Amino acid sequence: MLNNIKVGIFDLTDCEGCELEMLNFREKFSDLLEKIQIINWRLAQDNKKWGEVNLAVVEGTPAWNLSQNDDEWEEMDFALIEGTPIKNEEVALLKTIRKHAKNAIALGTCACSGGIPALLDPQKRASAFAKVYPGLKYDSLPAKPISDYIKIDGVIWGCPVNFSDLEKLFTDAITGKIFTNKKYPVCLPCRARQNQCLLLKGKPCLGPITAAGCNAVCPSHGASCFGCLGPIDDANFEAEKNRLKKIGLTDVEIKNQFNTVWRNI
Amino acid sequence: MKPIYSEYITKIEGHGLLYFDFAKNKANFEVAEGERLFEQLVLGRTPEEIPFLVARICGVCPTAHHLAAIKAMEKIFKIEPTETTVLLRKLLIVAQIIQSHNLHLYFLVLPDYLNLKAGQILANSYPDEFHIAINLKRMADKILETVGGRSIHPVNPVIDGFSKSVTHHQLSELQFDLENVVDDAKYTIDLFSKIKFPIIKNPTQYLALKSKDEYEVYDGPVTSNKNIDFDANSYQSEFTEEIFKNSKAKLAYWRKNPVMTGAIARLNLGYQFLNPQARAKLDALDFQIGSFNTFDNILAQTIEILHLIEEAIKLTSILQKKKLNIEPEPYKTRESHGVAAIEAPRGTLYHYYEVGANGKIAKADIITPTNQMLTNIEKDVEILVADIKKSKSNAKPEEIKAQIETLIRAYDPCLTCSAH
Repeated sequence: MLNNIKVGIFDLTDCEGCELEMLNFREKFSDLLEKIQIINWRLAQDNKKWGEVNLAVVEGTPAWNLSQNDDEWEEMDFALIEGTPIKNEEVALLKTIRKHAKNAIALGTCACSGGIPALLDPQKRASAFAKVYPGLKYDSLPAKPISDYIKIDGVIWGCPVNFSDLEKLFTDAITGKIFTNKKYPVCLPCRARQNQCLLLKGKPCLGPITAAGCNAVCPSHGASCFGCLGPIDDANFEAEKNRLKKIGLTDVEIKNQFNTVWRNI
Repeated sequence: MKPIYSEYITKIEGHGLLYFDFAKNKANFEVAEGERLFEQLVLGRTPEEIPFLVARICGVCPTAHHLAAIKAMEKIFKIEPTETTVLLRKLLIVAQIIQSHNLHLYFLVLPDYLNLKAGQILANSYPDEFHIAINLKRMADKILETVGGRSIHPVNPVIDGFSKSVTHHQLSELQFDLENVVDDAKYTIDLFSKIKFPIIKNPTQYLALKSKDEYEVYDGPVTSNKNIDFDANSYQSEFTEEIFKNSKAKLAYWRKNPVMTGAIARLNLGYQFLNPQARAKLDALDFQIGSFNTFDNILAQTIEILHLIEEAIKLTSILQKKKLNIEPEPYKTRESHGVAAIEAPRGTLYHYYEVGANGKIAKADIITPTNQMLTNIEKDVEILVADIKKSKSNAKPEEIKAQIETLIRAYDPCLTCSAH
């Protein structure tokens, strides 16, 4: 059993829903904090560097230069990184986090695949930007998995991530392991919840090729699975596509179903 | 002069930067969030998919975005949901506001006043307060899970109803649980009313939804403290949007004026409709309606939590006597457009969509409450800094910076929403 595991929780551009899932530790927080030390979490605690007196005077340089100042960083065992870099500065921050973390974990679907923000075709991003921000210079990045920028040591999918997976991530960490995605598909918990199969009812669902972990929350409410928990190992994408075709989806609809959360499958 | 540069402001939703030039006592607040482009990425998708997609604008108020999108689609397709559906949605909005206020009050605001050291969080330092916070969170989460399917990013509400019906038994259980947290809500008011917040005054425009006979959160015209009401349908002509200092957030000025929304605005405009226990607490407090002190937003949130718990008890009790007919009826898509306004935790949220002849989304426009309240923030900061300097001419920059941060926190801004 490992003690005093140092964890940083970071958010890039995103909705911050995954880090909020941390609060679901509720009463277990005190147990968690016996083993885990959260040393950097902007959303929930003051930053050590800027605690009381450590204000730096800088002339016209962006804050990023400060966050990249290596002396200011404490080494971490785990960095949980949520969201995806949209601003160029976020890539620099991401690299700094990587440098100071033994293990970098992509937290949530946005960090794993680009998620819903990556729905926007990268080719059309500049013109989409111009429509929303007329007159503003476009100098940002399309939403991409953080593994496009840094080497990562683990992923924890979910939109948002599921508390049970978060709990597992930490218990694994305490025993010196790194969390891995479930090896079985959404269909298992879905059947266990005695849902009628959406595909058999002629409705689209990515359950058969999506890793379990969400307790089949969408199909249990009659809603189609978009694969938030990531593709299962050895997923048979072709068979799934054929199935969707058979129930009457057009090629565009199949593409939409696959690419809402995943990319290029 | 060299500006003091701070890192991201901690304990707010999203990424904000604060520059402070202490020779000139000039503070500069910037939104540092990357652009989200939700109004563009929904184009070409089906109306049914929109609530699922736009919920991802915000992890703190996803249910508000989800329901706003549903309401807009119902306007477009001329769908009238059943009374039960509307009551269940109100219950969801109530829970959403409680969940968000609770997060803000206990996890973002309170640490400032408990002198929590850097790196500490409430859980290991203040177990009693943490326990109350968790009780309230559990309650709000339970409603969102039971009725909405999930506490963050709902799955159950759909156009014209819900995929899955709650049961009368579940509603009665929720009512029982709600009655058990009334005291926690009262404790919250007592706790926060003991904190001595700075007093600043910045007369502004309060905006919130209004109804004739209740503390409105779901529908209605928009009302203001200027005796001007307007129909949410005309929001695009009421607000002018401009880009906030080359950031990816926009400011939404109302009739060219700054705006304040959220708990303080709702309470100022609708306090006469508070439920009895919340009203009694408000009357016992030294809370001045029309104070124009943004720090009062914190107390207003505590009052709202109690009021909304009473409201949720009422709603669950009424719903137990209703037929739970929430099955969506089939509808025909048509080429049209529609607006929905709803009270999100931070204020009135507007969603607008156009559906094309092909049945797909052709246009989308969203104004979030934070887009509106950002118009107010800099003036407030200036007033606060001037006040500090007046009362303490040798105030250290660190001190001033810390005070400004608490003011920005009092707004409870959602910067991820503001860069939607």
